[in-house]
Amino acid sequence: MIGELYRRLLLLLRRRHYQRELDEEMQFHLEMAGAQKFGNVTWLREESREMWGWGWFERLTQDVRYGLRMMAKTPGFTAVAVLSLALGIGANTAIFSLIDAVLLRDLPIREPGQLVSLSRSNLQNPAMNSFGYPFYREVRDHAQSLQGVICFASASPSLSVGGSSERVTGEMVSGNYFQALGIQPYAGRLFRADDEHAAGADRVVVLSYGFWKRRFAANPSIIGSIIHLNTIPMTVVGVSPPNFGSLNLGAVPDVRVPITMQPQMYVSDSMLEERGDWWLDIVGRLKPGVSKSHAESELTAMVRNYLQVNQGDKPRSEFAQKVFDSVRMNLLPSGKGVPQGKAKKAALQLYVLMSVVGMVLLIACVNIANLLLARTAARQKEIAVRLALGASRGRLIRQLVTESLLLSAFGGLAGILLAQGGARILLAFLTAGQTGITFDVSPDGRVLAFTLGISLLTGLLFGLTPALQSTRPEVAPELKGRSRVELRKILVSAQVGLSLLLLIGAGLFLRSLLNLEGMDTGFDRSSVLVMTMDPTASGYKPAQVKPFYRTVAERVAGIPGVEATAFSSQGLVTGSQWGSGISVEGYQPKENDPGPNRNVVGPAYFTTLRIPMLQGRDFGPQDNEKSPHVAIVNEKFAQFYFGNTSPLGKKIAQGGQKPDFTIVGVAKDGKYSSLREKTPRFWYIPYEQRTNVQNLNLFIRTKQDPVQLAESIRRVIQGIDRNVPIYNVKTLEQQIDESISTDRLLATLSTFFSLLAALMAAIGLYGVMRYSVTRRTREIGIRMALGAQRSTVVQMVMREVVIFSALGIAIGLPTALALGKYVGSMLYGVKPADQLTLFAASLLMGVVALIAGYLPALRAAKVDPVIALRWE
Amino acid sequence: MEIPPGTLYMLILKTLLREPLHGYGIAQKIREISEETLDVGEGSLYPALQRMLIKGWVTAEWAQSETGRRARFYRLTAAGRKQLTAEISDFNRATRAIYRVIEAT
Repeated sequence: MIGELYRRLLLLLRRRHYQRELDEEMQFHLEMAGAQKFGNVTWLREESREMWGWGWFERLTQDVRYGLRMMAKTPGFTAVAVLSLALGIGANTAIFSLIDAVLLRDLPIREPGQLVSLSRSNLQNPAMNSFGYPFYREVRDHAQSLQGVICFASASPSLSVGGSSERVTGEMVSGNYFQALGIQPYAGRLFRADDEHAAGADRVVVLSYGFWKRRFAANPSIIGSIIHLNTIPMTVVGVSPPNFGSLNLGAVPDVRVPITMQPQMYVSDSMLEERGDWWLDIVGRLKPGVSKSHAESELTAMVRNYLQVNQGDKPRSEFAQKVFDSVRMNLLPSGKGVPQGKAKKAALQLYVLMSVVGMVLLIACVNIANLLLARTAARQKEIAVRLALGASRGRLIRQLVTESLLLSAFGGLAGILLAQGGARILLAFLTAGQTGITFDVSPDGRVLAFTLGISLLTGLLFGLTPALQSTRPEVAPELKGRSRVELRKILVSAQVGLSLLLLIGAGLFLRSLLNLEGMDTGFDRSSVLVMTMDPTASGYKPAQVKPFYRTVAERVAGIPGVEATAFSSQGLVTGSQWGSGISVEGYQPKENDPGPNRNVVGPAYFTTLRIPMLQGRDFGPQDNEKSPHVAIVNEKFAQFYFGNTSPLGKKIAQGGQKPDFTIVGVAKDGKYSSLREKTPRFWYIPYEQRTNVQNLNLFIRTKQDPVQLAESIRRVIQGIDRNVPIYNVKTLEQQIDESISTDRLLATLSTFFSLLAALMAAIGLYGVMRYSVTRRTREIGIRMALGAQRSTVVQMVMREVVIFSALGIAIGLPTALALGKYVGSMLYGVKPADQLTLFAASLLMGVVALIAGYLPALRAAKVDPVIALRWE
Repeated sequence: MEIPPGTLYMLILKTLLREPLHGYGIAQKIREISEETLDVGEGSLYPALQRMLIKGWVTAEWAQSETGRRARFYRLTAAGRKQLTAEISDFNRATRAIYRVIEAT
């Protein structure tokens, strides 16, 4: 078998040599046979060679060579085709490689298929994936249906090495984390079950490979040495492997510490024994042979039991009982990352983009098919001659399809190169503003297979129809020409329809982007710098924190160019929010009411951000620890709790406490955690009147470009204490821009691709009309000789243009309406069936189509009857 | 008369059993031994030889022919002998069976 293969290969590689031997052998036979007849030598030689089994290969190389010659002969056509294919295939590959990285790839862990994450639901909330540490221990030790149960929670401690401090990303994990996932150390060791020992006692760190390389220059001697996290000395025990990021897809924690280090990482009281704190994710493996539903019912019983113990003997209200009865535990497959991860939320956007670029590729295919139809028409004579000389139809089709496949192969190659850069740019857009998110988007086997697949598919798609058409035998040539024109017109209508679909999508995304960009956020975002700092992570005692913040505010205010500064515990438009229960004097809170959101801010917060005060005053330096407690509420809050009476002087507090914060002001409503939110009820208190203050954001309004001041502000703060790291330094404008980067990406890409599609449709339409006009030159000439006006000729051509653009629009509009529901959730301030967008897109498509059709119509009108009649 | 289908390889292998021969020689030999009954056309002979080379049943080498001209001589290999035995036994079984069918009353 092997020998046979070897001999065949030899025949291929040295086929010239063997060919000569065969020739000589034939010659010898001929001489020996003498006068006796010897059949057709060429035929015999071919037959003998056929035995080598390489005929298909030789025909293929012949076709490829011929195809390449054809490509070189029509460089314009080749360039247009390859370029549009490269764009189409490149865009598809780029987006597919993101989908692959985010949604399809298994994590590099042992048996990813078994992995499930715990998520509980009740009638109020369909998915809650946070649990308490005591519950984790119960599941780990007692759940019969799961094994290898691990837990993790994120943290961002302050790392200090040799006097300077920086904020790093981190994860706290259970001791069995690495072992249960089957992850081997890159260097040193990873955690063991006994690293999860007692609160605050397990002072060991595992570095991620990337961080080890970046921060410590991959120095092996760092293993075994001490680094400080939130001022706690901890021993580096090892480095995790480069291919493993996190179960939370996209996140790559710089450091990992045992879950028992939670009090030190959060600089707070221990939550480890708190049954009512919900803060960590639990992931486990289904035991072999155990069904998911069986495991879910076991865990539902466990979580209900846990909640019941928390409740104790206290009776529940009727509603609370209903909520309790609806509690269920769900197990979500997590072998490709836990489903609640940030990156997974981009899934919808990715699918929308995939459909957009899919349609663009389809339009490109149709366009090339159209061009090929026109070209094969020009080659009709050649094809007819070859058919007449006895070439089989299959052989001709194969050759024409080979030419198409060559085009798509070139397009695919260029596309892969484009996709390489494209995927990275897309990724930057999709993850803008989220620190510590990285993905491997380098093409793997699946991506390459995808590209190969779509290249082949597109080649067949646009190549087969023209090939079948042009080689169809025995039909009267006149008839054949007509049916080809009809086919091309149908194709053009389809292109118009698809392009319209894309234009409408682009219009919707553009409008919602404009709505987001142009919205009144309730504060003035220009010339404001934001930065975050956390002295508690550098070992500050609670009593030292407020004096530090006071000093910072004072010194920064003294920098030339700084107009005003204010602290705030919540960022603006960063997605974070802080719900709080509320107690309002003389108001009975309703059950099932999520309550207002809250922020803790420094003096002059409203002045600095230019949030208008509708009543009362801003916080000031007079609101300190010793003065009466004060609060400011927003309009919505005032309206909700006090109706039309003035809220000033009313007393409120957080849920369950005696209302002792007096309302001193009402601020205008605005945006708080995101641009898309519905205005929540909102209230503010001064940080000076809180006992426990941790990290705060500093807003600095500047008189000049805030970016230029950033460095001197940082230096001033570092001058107070260089151990307090400053992070997330951005302008407020930048922060808001980042929060809508996905919307911008969708709007930009869909606009670009829809215009490209419309252009391709226009080219297609122009090509078809021009071809049809040329074919009808004689007819037009006769009509004109018989007295037809030029305008009549133009009308005649334009009537056709109008008919099939209208047909395309008639297909596109209802399709757009039907598909609208899939993008509804991604829009802002505009409905999928927005009439203005539908109208504008149709108008644009119509105008483009008319222009593309008008040029050939003009040409038709310029036909000189005398020349036309002599034509042919 | 043309060679009965399916027997060409067997006939070529058999003629090569005694000594290496060139293509023309093979055709001559078959005609001679069959007393001019079987006629191997070059149209089937040379493709068959190419195929047998690939299969490894024969090897070929260039040598001087009886007329002094260079010719390609085919030589049976061990694999070729095995193939020949197998083909002959198959052929015998088939002919016996065919006899039984056509002689049956």
